[in-house]
Amino acid sequence: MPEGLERIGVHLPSLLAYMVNFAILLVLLHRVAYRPFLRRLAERTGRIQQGLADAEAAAQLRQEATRERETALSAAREEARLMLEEAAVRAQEAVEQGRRRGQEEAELHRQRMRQRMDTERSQALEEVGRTYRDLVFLAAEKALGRVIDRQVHQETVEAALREVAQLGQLRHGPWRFGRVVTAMPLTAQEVVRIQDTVAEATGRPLALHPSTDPRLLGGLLLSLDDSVVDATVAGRLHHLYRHIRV
Amino acid sequence: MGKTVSADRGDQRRPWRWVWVVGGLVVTVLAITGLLSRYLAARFLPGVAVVPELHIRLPSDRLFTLWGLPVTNTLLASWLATLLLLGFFLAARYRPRPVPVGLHNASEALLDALADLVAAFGGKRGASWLFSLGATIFLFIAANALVALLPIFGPVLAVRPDGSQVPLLRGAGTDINMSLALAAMVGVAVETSGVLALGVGYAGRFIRVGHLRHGRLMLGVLDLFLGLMAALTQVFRLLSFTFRLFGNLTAGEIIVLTSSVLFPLVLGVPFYGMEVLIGLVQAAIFAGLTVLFASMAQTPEALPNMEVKDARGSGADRSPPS
Repeated sequence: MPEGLERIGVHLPSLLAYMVNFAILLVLLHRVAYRPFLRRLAERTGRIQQGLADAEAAAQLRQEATRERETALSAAREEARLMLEEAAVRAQEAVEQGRRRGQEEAELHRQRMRQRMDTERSQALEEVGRTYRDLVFLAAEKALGRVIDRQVHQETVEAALREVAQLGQLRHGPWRFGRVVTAMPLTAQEVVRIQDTVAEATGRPLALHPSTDPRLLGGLLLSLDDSVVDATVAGRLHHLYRHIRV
Repeated sequence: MGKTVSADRGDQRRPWRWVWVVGGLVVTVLAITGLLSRYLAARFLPGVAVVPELHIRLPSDRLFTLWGLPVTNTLLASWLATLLLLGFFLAARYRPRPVPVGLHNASEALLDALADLVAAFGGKRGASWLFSLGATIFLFIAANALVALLPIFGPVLAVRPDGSQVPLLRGAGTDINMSLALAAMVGVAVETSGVLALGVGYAGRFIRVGHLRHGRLMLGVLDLFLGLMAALTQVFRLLSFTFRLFGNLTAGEIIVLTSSVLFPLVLGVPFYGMEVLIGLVQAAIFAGLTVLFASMAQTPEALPNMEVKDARGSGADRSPPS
């Protein structure tokens, strides 16, 4: 080592010691501090770049979302407008339809009510007529029941015999037996008289079996086999009752 | 990438404020305790510590020999600075959190500032080995300059085997061996980076025979001379490195020593702050120039008369200047 260098302190072992010291420090700091720091720096840079990229992507997504929202809102507004118009039209149609249906239902109800009123009126009139007929029949029946006597009985029987004599349907019938019913018991003469009249009307002699039923009021009821000739006062009253129209 | 770097620096803006505050407090405490301790030690510990006399001596003092290695008080101080640096970063690694706090935050702020320093001097931000070299140079020089302001530097004496007393610790920056060792390692690193980046053609920067091959004798001789100057520049650069750092830190030590003798209490404080500033500036200059020289060594544009091959391996033939 030159003397001048030694004077200012240059010393080879110390020089090497400093170099080794610095090299060790360099290696240790590289492992302990620099490498972790550079790794964190790279990670941080990556995160920042990723964050910037994410922020940019998010901004684009937000813009797209805004555009989509505006588009959707416009479409929704247009759809709402169309729906409102359609709803107004449908409401008008519904009102018209409801009005027509109401009118129809009202008309139908009115017709039903009219039919019902007619029916009820007819039933009421029929009931009134039936009551009236009943009253008339009862009145006639009571009146006739009180005035019938032997003379009236004979007159009604004679009138009935005249009717029987005028019946052309009885002639040449396949009659085998007969029965005659009157309101009062017949005398023998009256029985003969009836038998003669019936024989003349039927064209053959028949033995008539007489019987009595006061409900007939007058006249006679002639039964030939399964045919009946009603010439009684009660029968006429019933005929009259059936043909009464109120 | 630019956005990323600016965002990253923006995150570190707040911790810097605390770095300045804490740094100012540390300097103040160091200065006051350093000044007071000289008198307190002289009064209460006369046998252990003494007020140093104004005696300037450039070589460091040998304390003992360890496995054949003479351990000086400056080498011991550099070990102390090394241990403090390692302790700081090991403590900063303890229980790291996703959002840095405390020492972790301070260490990241410091390394981020160093990454900016490396990038400012032409290095690539995030590059591993160049950043490691520049940051270690800065931290090593700055730590040695700052620990030299501790009160134990100077008053605490050690008794050598021959019975003489010398300061136990002395700032490593005042030892030319430290500056020379750093300069030598930087020189090796710079030349190695040039060879790794440019290959064998890197030698063409110093051995310029392009004109001679083309028969231009005068220009060829001039080229050879320029190549020799370039090679000498490399050597002188190392010497410049060495003596700039050694001279500045030694001058700072002398100024502090002189001020503490001349202006015992209050007036010595500004010189302590100036010494802190000088230490940081010299560390930044040394580290920055290292990165700058390494970047220049890797740059093919500065190489005439050779087939240029850049760091990525793509070649481009450059004809010699006419």
